[in-house]
Amino acid sequence: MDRVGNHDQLNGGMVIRQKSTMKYKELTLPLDHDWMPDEVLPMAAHFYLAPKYHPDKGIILGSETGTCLTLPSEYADFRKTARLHEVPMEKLFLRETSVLDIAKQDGQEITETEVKQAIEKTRFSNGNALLLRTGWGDRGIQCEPGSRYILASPHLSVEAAKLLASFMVGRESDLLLTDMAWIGRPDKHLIPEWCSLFPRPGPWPSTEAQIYLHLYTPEKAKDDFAVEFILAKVGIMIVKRLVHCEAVISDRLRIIVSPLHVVRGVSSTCRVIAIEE
Amino acid sequence: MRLIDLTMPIWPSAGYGEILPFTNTPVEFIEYMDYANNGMRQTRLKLNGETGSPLMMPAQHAPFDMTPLQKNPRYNWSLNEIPLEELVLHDTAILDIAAGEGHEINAKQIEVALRKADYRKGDHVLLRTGWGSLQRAYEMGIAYLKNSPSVHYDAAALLADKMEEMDSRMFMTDCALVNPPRVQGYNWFLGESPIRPLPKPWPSAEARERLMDMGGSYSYAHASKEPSSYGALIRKTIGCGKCLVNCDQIKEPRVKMIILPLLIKKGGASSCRFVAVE
Repeated sequence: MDRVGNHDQLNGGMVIRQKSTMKYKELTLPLDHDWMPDEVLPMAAHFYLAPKYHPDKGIILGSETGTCLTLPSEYADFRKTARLHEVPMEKLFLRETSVLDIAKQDGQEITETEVKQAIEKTRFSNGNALLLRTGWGDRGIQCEPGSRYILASPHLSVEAAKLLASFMVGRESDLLLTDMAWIGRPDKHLIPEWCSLFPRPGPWPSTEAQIYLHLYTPEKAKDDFAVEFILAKVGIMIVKRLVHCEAVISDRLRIIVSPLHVVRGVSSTCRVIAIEE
Repeated sequence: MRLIDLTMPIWPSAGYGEILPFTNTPVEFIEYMDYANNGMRQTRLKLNGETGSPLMMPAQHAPFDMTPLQKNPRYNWSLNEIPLEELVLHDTAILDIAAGEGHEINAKQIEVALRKADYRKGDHVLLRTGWGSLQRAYEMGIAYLKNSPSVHYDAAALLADKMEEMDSRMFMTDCALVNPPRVQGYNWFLGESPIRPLPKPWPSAEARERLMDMGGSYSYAHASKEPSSYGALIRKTIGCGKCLVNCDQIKEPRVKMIILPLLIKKGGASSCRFVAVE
């Protein structure tokens, strides 16, 4: 959705009390009760809207359903860091953002060299959020049935994540957004073990998912989420599964990341809007 | 630029999920991955369209029932159809009516507040009573809703007409309930024969019995014979938000509002984030 609005502008780099045109871009994967593309692995919770006379009437979703924000405190090693209700508003709302373009296709890994080259081309101001755009959320794959959106998503290599983390820390940036379905690829345990089951069971709370996660140890999580750990260790918050990022064309960009206001939460489905001047 | 979070937080067993038989259901979390066993957390959240600070549309029970709560609404959009310019940095007038515990705002108070407000064509409207505070919500539990100030029908009808005249399209308030609690909770927690102890909401046996008493539907009426204040407002707006907090932190008579519900395809109501920008 691309909307144009006229506003008396704010300060903080924008013009005050002067009419200008801002464009709002919706970057959020819609929550669709008919079909969600991210319900592939056992750690996904089934998104469910129960009808009003059903005992489960209401909205049932996972903390990482659809487009979602993940804080470092999702991981046990960093559980003493900020929770959702403690994140300062300025870190998520109307934050200036720079775009890092690394076009990627099915299943491709982003390498350290590619991150280095992209960084050299990017204009990045200290403190900005960083939008890593691969094009994955612009191909409509998220609307197709099957598991391709999740299992074939581009992802960062460990070395690329280390370079990106170092760059972001050096630029006082702690918010990474991306159109990839995953940041790393959980292919040490999760993908090979779960995807070897035929027919593939449903996500949590299927019986199979409950049994699998019962046996999924912290050591396995560290293997599978090594890339996420690298970023979490330096305090970087992650927003993944953005869509329509190619609609963002301006260098003057602000991002709104609007998660549910969950007390002591560590991740949440969220709404993401880009504002271009 | 100053950002003020006006959003009621979400936590398990919050009072707003325990007070009414149908429209609000309990907030429940299940930690199906946890630090000790898995080295990381994943949570399943059971929410409701009115959890926290909600944004509610005329067809509140969408996508399963697309019929609006009130006949002939000015708008009848679902959550994913709201244009972003209505949700992002939209000019908003503050309508100040200080109201304490149990007060029902009347038409005269609306008239006075409208005269005093810096209210311009196309503005959204935020009715501020001073009731909405985190401390109150955390300490009072369901009494935060039972004792909330509210809007009498005559006042709501007057405000709704004025909002249509001014081409206003969103109504928000820091009242925990828009309808007076005696109307909304009639013969549930207040009224001639309130149920004691207060039953759990749907799908409790008591809520199911109440549904039978109401003829099998709660879509278009509540148990009270009084007209719905909320109904008067939702009929003239794109959507209504309630149960906001921290509105006393707004210093200016006008703000720009960020109003972001979940992007639920064909959704009728959602927990929402409300942020004022000064």
